[in-house]
Amino acid sequence: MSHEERALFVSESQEYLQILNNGLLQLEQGTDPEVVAELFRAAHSLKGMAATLGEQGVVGLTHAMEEFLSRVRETGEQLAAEDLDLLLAACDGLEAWLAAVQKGDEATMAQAQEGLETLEASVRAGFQRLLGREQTAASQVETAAPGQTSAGDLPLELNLYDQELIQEATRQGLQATDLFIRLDPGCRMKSVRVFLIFRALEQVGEIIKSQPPAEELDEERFDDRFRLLVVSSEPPEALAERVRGLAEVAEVVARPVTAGEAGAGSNGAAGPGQAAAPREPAARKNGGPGLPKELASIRDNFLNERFLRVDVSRLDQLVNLVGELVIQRNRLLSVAEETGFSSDVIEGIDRIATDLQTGVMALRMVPLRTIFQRFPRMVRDLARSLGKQVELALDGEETELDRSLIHSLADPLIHLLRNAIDHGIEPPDERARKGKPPTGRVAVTARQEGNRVVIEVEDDGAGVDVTAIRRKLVERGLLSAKEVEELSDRQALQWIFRPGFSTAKQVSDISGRGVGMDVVRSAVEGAGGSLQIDSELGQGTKIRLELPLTLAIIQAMLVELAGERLALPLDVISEVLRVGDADIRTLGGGRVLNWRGQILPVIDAAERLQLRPAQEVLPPDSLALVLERGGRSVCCLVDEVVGHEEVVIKPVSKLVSTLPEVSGATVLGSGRVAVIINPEPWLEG
Amino acid sequence: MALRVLVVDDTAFMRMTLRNVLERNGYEVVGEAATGVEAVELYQSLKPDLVTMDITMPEMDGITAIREIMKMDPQARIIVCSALGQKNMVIEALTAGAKDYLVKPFQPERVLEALEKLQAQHT
Repeated sequence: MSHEERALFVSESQEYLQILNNGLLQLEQGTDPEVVAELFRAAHSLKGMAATLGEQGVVGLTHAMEEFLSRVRETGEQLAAEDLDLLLAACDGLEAWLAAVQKGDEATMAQAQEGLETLEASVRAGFQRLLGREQTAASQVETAAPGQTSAGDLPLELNLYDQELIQEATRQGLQATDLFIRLDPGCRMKSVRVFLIFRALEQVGEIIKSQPPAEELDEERFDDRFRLLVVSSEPPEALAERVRGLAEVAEVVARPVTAGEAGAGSNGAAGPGQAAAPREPAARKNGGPGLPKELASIRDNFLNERFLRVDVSRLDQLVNLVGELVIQRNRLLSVAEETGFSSDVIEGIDRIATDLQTGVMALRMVPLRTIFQRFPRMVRDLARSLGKQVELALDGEETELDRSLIHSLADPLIHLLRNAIDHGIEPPDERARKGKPPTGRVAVTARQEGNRVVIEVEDDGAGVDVTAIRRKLVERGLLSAKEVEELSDRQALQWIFRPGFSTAKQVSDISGRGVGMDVVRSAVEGAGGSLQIDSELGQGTKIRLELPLTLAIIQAMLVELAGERLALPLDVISEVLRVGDADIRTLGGGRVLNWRGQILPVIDAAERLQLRPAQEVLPPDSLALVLERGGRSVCCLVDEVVGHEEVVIKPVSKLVSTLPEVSGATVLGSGRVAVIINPEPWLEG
Repeated sequence: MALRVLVVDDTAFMRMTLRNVLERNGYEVVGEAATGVEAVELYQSLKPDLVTMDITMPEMDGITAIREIMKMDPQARIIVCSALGQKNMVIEALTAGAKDYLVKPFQPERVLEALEKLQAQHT
């Protein structure tokens, strides 16, 4: 866990613990369903956070608390002092554990964890006691006749008329449901979406209230959340399902409402508010009681949010502007250099522009978790349908990538996983015959390496049969027998990424539908990344994806080639040599560079890019760049290195450039346009 | 079996955009119409599973076309496509019988979500 994550985790957990503490104290005054619900949510959130960390002790304890609270939520019974003591002691245990996490001290943590186990056992014991107890309080709430609630007791959100409607509905055997609905943040014409939701619900019931009111929904004066009170013969979950069946609906939570419960929720207008916003007592006192309760809770939620959702297009606009700023900054620097004008103003602008750029780019970073979280379910389903046993290990979900890259990465990764399970992992009996454990293992790991993100998909399955690939290459006339012989195993393996190449013995339903590895490759390369495969027959396969952190702005080395200025990603260049000093020889049909004992193929960049014909003799003062990426190296010849600069990548139309090496263009500080080179095709050989 | 879709829009570019999105995702675009009149004729002859319907078109607008189609086939599944700011027309189209709406410029994932949800509702 990074420092930043730990800080966020600790502060968020503290908030939940605070809610738990305050709420439990409130329960001493009597059971308020709203407070119980709040407590339940807090325990549940803590459990979720702990589960992501693999903190089993905390998961166990919070789960026991959840059970306890969920029971109380159902029955509405008054808790005995001993119950509250127990739950408060659990909070203390959690606090001790959190303090240990904050300190990061192993010994204290181990101690705290032991404490958690003991607490879990006593909370469970307390829960059993609770179950055995008579539920007098519960029956009271259940049978509370609607007529008993007086107008003064009613919560502000439901007026007399609403209450009467609910009562009338209950008499008719209908159910009132409180529906919380959140639209997709990207939803356009929200009011029309609301119209569709209303329409869907009105087919089976009546909407008697909305929060915010219908006019505000119609005028789109709401963020993306709203609440509806619906009376229907359908149960809450069925209503929720109807709404979920509509497009652009992100979340629906349904809760049954009874007239009695609505009354019970209002004992003391300040009650629920205390639990919801423990950190803002002042705001609550001033504004809380005056506002309808629902609205107040929406507002509290809003104030409590640590994250702000922003329209992606605004972010993209900001990135574009920063890009322009970087270009102008570079021009300013180059003008200043030419005129010999140096001042701290320029330095200041330079520094701020760089910081601004870093900050804005960080806004677009999204953790890989957003893709990874889909995997467990998919792997499970797929393994079951194929009669295989597969264990999935995920690592590095917190690694971040630019959001545009995340999008283009989802499908390729899913395809690789499918391949691993479908073609890689053997059925259990076959694995047993091979002396492998019956459960196959697929691991997806991600990490940042310098300026790039590396994602590996590895399985311990059958591996790829290189001999079969060689045979197939000849059979299909893709290569001659002699060429195939000259291929190294590694080179032969790379062929599975070429279009129309599959060695699966039978085309299965899952991976054989024409979306082959070539699609994976083009998606990854389209995103400026690269793809490599390693496989050993019978042992397994590892596929390694490398992607740039971001596509928008990169560090580039500027080189000159036949009078043209080109930009090469800086992270790929590992050394610059003078041709005169370099050990370049002619071998077979081409040149090679002997570099630290390695023989690297030499690429005449100007020839590849069709800038000029191949040079017979290399000028000794021209330069040889050693390019390295993912364990592959190549040498590339350029005339001159001009400098290095941060460049903003602007896409180039494929109509303009059919060269695979051209990945974009940029405007340099000098105002000249330079082509940005993606050396990936060269590295592939 | 792939669902058969009729794409209705007066600009060839929008039709192509939709066709690409749909075909790449396993739908079969059985026909394209550039006017409301054509849409109604093609609906009758092709009997598509789904229709995407533009609103502003020459020779009968999308809303009228939706009404005509709903008269022929009350089960018709139509998604209305509009530009931002046509809210009232979208509501009118939905009232006329369209099941969902899409806002231009199209975002492929929204298009697919709308189609999938519509499909799920009726199976």
